[in-house]
Amino acid sequence: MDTQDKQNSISEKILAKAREGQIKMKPRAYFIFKTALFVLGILVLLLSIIYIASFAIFSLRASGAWFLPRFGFLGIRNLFGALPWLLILLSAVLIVMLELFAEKFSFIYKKPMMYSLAGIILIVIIASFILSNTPLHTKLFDRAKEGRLPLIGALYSKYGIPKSQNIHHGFVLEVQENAVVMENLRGEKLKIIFDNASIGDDISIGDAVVVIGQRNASVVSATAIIKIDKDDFFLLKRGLTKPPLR
Amino acid sequence: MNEFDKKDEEIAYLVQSGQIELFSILVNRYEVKMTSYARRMLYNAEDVKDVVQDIFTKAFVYMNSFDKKRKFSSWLYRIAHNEIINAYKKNKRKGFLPLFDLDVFLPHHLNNDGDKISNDLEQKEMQEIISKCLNRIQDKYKEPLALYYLEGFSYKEIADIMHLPVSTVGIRIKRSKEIMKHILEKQEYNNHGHPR
Repeated sequence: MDTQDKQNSISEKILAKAREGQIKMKPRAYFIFKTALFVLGILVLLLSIIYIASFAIFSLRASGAWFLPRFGFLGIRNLFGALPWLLILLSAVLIVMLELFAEKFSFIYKKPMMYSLAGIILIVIIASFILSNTPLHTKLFDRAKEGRLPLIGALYSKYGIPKSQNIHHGFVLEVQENAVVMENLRGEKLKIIFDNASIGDDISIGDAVVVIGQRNASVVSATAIIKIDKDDFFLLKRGLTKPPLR
Repeated sequence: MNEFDKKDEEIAYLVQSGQIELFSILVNRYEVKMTSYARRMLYNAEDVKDVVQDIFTKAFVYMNSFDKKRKFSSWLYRIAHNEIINAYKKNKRKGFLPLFDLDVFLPHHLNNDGDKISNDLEQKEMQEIISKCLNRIQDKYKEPLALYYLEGFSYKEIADIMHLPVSTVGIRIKRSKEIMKHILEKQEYNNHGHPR
């Protein structure tokens, strides 16, 4: 069989199959629909990552771990154990998935992966910070507490305010000589005792504080305490305990 | 104008419009190219035959995804690239597409802009060298090298065919040239006992 015959045989085979209906040219609408579905999938994935990352920030703020770097070396050492690793790992896996999906687009794959990955991470960080500064998570948490949040309600109940033995976040109800009484975001009253650390003159009733120290029942042996911005705390507190004031 | 004188993109458009018989013109124009391309990438002759058949069948089925503003040859080579990967997977050959490659991740500086080779002499010389060395080059370097020197695509077109960053195409071609140089020097040493 010479080359010409071979050529004819391939095209003839394909065209014969097409005439018999064994193979069909996919319609243009199929590709448009596929692309639209793909873009939608990417958007849903991106929004999910932003949501999870902002939830991680919310969880860090609610647990008090967000404020740990202000304690210096001691805080940073405690921060490592207080990070929501499951949420971070989940976000990282989804970011890699998003990058792989986005690699289908020529404006993405033509540039080194480092750039697109950095771009995605930057978008996620900025958007999740913006989202975490809205009352969305506090409102959802409130609904979850009242049992009015199906599906993701468990996420808020379980991970919304992670229980920590070392980090305590709340507001001061009472100041004593070597102790303060504070109420945390779960509504628990804790007695914070200072054996080795001084309370400092600047802690007074109504202050929002974060404490590092081992908890035993409702007593915490404090190692360090800092006062935090009331706005941060009360934004959470308002959403967590009652409907927004205004 | 006779259909045979039309550009590939125009014929593809006519096939999309329902004149499916014209598909045979595209097959006639590209079958030899596809066969030699697949032969360079694959080792099994039986695979080559099947892969070429699959390339054109896919091209027919997916014809409506072709955008006539793009180059038909790049689109067809993209299908060929995917079919060759499928053949590799079928044969459980590893190495063609590594799961993670720093070349793809990091940016690279290119000394040239990766335009098509305009110098015939350079292309002929390289074709001769490549034919001697191609089978001894790692799979991931082989394809961009063949597409640039043997098929005559630019770096940007190769990036579209392989879905790789343009700078990665450039760095792989640069490295494959260094590998070929090393192979030739070794060959020279074995033949004459010393490098020329």
